[in-house]
Amino acid sequence: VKRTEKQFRGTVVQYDSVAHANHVGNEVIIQLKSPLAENDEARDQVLRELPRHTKVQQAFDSSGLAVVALPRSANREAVVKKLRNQSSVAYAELHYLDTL
Amino acid sequence: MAEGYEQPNEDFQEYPVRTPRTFQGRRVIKIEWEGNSVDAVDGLWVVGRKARGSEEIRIDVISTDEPVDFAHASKAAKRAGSGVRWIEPVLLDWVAAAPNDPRFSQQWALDAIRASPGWDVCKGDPANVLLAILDSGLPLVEGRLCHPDLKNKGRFLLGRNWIDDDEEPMDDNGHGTHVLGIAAAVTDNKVGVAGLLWEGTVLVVKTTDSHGQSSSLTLRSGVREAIALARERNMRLVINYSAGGVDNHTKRAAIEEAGKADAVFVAAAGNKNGNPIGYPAAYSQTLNHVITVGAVDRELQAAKFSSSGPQMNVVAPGVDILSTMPNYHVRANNEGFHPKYDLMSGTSMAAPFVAALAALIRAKYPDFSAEQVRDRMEETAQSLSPQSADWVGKGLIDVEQALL
Repeated sequence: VKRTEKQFRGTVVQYDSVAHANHVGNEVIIQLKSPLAENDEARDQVLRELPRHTKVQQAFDSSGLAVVALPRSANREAVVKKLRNQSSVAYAELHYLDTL
Repeated sequence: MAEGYEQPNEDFQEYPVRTPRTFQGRRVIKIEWEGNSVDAVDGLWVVGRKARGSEEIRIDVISTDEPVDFAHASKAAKRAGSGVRWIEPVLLDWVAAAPNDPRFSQQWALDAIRASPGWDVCKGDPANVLLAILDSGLPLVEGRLCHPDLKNKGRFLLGRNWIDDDEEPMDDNGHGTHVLGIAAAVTDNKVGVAGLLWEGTVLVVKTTDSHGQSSSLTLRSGVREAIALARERNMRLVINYSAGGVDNHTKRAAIEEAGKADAVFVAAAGNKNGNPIGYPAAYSQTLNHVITVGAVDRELQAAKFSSSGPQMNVVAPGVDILSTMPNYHVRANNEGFHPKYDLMSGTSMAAPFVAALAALIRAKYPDFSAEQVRDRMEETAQSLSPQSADWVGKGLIDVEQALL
């Protein structure tokens, strides 16, 4: 991972050499398979599995999507892989950036 | 054949027209006349006769009640009297709509895509069609519209600023203002430039920051906001997104959601010098409501900076495009761009022409699905053969033909 000086919404932008794309710091987007109202338990389960000191940047919305910021010490790839293996999770991925 | 008759050009032939226009209740047809394509009134002929006992030429109009057929008309003219000097179909001159914006004559792009004759057919439908521009915002000072060419209150709806998470989509980059002006600068207001969407309602959502970065999440938020507003107002939706990057789940889900809402999603192909087209544009291969847009220059050659690939649908002008810029300092000014109006190049500039045309098509044809809008644009595009389809898709958009 090559660090750049750029920021997006106040968070440092990093480069993912596998996807060949910039993404927002340690942020991870999590999408549950079913909408939140039907899935309180799944949400709690996902949150319990995240590393300590993970910050919820954007709480789960009604569609079941949330954004979390992992602590610097966390192994991002490992966390994403673990989330993807959860049966209630549709996908988990880095918060990727587009350019003009 | 009576003496004095002049046989029209041998190439004279009837051309099929998709939707007939009418003139005084008669069908208007297109014919090839001395190498030019012109409109004529079906079955009506002008006859020039020498008046008896004088050199004066009298002009009569005869009706044949038959499709354009010179032999038939000649016989009818002969029956109508002698002294016929010449006969020709009633040709029509259409006064193409020309806006009074003083910089209109510098907008080569509008001429290339045949905007003026298109405006004769349709100028837009502000009540029923919503064009959403997801970009770096528009010129605002203290929350108020401040650019003289982007200042029509009813026309511009201020969407959310998903970068700063507030309700002021102020442009701090310049890109969004330029894109917005191409599609929707106020037209015929005696100020600056003309936007292609002469009449329309435009939602401006800030999804891109001052550095020109947007994200899968801000894109998703912008798309959902546009869908919600269109649904609330019962409007047909067109979304323009002049940015791109890698494929990812969040982005794909957002674009699929737009498809479920029957929104047309117009995306710039990207400026990667012939390298593959980025996402979301590249979704056009599998999602039929997505239109990928490449760029051409003034000579209608594909812009070398454009990305290319089989996902390309159509092209529009994207080199040296004149449009609006914020009338205060933004990041683009550090790169040499002038405030208020300037030229910019990129597939970003081509996309809003296509988005505005999609809005015009949806105004003219309210029942068209998003997929039909794309089909219409492709079917009526001006061929740029022999240029590769990977660079120019089906060709250059043609506003008039798409709306006929």
